[in-house]
Amino acid sequence: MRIRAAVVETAGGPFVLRDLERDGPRDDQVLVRITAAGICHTDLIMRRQWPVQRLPMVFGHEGTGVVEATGSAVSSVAVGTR
Amino acid sequence: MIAQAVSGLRRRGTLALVGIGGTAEFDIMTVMKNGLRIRGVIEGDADPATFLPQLVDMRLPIDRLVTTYPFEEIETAARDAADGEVVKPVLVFG
Repeated sequence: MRIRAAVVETAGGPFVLRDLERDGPRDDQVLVRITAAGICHTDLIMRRQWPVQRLPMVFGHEGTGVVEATGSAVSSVAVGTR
Repeated sequence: MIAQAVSGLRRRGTLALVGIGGTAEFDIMTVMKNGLRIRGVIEGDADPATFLPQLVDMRLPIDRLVTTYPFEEIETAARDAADGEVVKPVLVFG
C-alpha cells in the first residue's frame, strides 16, 4: 500500500515527506491510520545519532489513530478500534 | 545520589530508577543486609490504555502542554521542540 512518511535520508538531516510503498500487517501486527503523533526528544536525538549505514529511516513512537487492518493472530483490537 | 537513596531505604525496600543513562556506585553490603531491590521503571509501569484517560480526567492541562502542527510542518515542530519553544509538539494528519 502507499503511505506518506517523514523520512530522514541524511545523517542528522531534515524530515522529508515521501510517498512510500509498504507491506500490510504481518500475523502479529496491526495497521493503524495515524491521526496524530507526538514528537519526542528521543526522536530528535535518534535522528542526530542514527548510523548513516541504516538510513533512510522513519522515526517516531507516539502515534495514535484508528486500526485499519489486523494480522491473523491479533485478537486484542479490531478494525475501527481507536 | 543513588548511593544516598540506597542508604535511605528501609529493610526490604525498593529503589525505583526513573532517569535515563549514567552509572552509579552503591554499597553492595547495604543491599545484601537489607534485602533491597533496585529496579528500573519506565513511564510509571502504567498501562497506557487505562492510565492515560485517568490522567486526562485528573485535569492534566493538555491544552497548555500540547502545540499542534500539520504533518507537513514536522521540521518546524522539531525545531520548536529542540529550542524549547513548545513542551509537546503533536503532528496532526488531515
